[in-house]
Amino acid sequence: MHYSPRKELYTLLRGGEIGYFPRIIPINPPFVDLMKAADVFWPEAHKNSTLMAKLAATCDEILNFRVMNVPFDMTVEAEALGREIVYKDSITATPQVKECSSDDLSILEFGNEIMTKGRFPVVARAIKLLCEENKSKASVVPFIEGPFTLACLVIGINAMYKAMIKDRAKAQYVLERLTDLSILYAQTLCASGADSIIVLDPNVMGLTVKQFTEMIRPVYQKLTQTIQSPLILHICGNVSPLLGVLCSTGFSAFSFDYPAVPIQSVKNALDGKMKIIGSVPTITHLLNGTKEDVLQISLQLIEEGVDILAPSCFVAPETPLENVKAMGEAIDIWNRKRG
Amino acid sequence: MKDARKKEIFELLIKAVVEYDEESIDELCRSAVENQIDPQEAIQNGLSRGMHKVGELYDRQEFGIPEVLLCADVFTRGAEVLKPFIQETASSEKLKCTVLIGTVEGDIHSIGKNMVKFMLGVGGFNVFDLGEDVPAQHFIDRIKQGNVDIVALSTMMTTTLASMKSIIDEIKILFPDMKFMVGGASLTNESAEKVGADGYAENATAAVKKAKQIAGALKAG
Repeated sequence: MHYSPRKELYTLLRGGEIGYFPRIIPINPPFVDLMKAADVFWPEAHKNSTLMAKLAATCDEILNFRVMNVPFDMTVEAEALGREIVYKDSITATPQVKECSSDDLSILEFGNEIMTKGRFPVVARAIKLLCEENKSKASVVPFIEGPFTLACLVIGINAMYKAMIKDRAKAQYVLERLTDLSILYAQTLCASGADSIIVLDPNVMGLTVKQFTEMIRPVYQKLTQTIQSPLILHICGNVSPLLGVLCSTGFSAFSFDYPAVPIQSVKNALDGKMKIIGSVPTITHLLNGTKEDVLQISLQLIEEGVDILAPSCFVAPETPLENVKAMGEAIDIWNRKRG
Repeated sequence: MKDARKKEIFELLIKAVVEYDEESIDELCRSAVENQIDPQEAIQNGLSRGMHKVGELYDRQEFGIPEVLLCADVFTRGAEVLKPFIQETASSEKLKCTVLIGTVEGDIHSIGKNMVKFMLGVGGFNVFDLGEDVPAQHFIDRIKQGNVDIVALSTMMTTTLASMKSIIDEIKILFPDMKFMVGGASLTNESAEKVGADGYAENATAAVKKAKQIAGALKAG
């Protein structure tokens, strides 16, 4: 029996099995070859719902990856809160938050009206468009920022890391307010039609197990307990020490960074409690490798036990189309072999 | 002065850095000077050894980035107190090697770059920091002013790796013998080679070793 693509992802993220390896590949912001194919480019597609949706749809239409991700950068929340964003007039540049350090926490005093600010409505409308036009062929899985990474963007990365030791009350307040923001945003995206959400929180990689357990786990739990849709956590880099705590965060799946984290240690730590997503290396294989390199590592990852195949991080804009397509081909090869 | 007292002060400086004790670092550094300890020796055998210990604790995952940043603040504060007492002499251990450092265009991350800058300074290099989101032309303008031996480039993101390569390519057109070091979360030894770097370092401590190797080769050459 074969499930529909949306049902496949939903079943897996709810802890079920589907009996074959799904041809679902999440974590795919578009790259230059897809922009050319859609004739839609950055930076325009960062700000316009129609263009954002058209570009995101290429991941399903051209790659047949059955997942469409929006937005293509990590600044939507910080922008809505009033932080200055640097947009470059380049098809390979992602918007970035201008680095800041501020003791002024009044930026965190927001109500539900925040959802009308910045690009929140742009992303929500892009999701609606994707749902309307794709008629449930592919899952719509937006990215949002995890509370800690967002905190680093909003009050300054140095200030936030230091506050984790020197001013825990401030760090906790910031994390709680930003978790409230993440909840509002995630609810808006789900109401617009998102099937699941990927929470990107790379900056927690620099925390100790104690800091993560005491300060981050509670806000993750609040997030996962409040949002009804299944949530995927993505952290890049070597998070081996944190793996043991992830099981109790409530996320449905963990997207890891290979080879920074060996798959066996992810499997041992998660012990079947969360699905494992990953993790074709974006630089050595997808950007700089050959199609054969990508096929080989993808088959190896499936063999070793990932539940869903994906790039280990955002793919570089210059990544060759053939290499990205090879991830899907590896899944087809695997499923043919298994009958 | 008695070696035992000297050793005791070094140990206290190490402890203050490792315990990110900003309350007592000023007084400890002043007491080093009052006890006629060479301020450079106090930096090398006290503060710097403290930072090396911090690096080890980070490698063993006992420390996270929050601790490292706080320890680095204490180091910098201590070094600021000691600096005015340093007398430049012929025996000064400065390597007379200048590293030009920056985060590549398109990327605004600074923590990793700043840690490397800081540790290179500790390691005896002159370091000139161009900041973040630096285009090739800014590197070229600074190199033209002279005295740059190594260019160190950082990028955290996978999306700006191409920017790193094009900066190296552009600099090499004008300065074919320039040496390059690269680092950042998205890099490996293999990808560093692909962008045309002479050296890659996984962390700030390794960056100092790599820079010393390159500096040594430059001197020998």
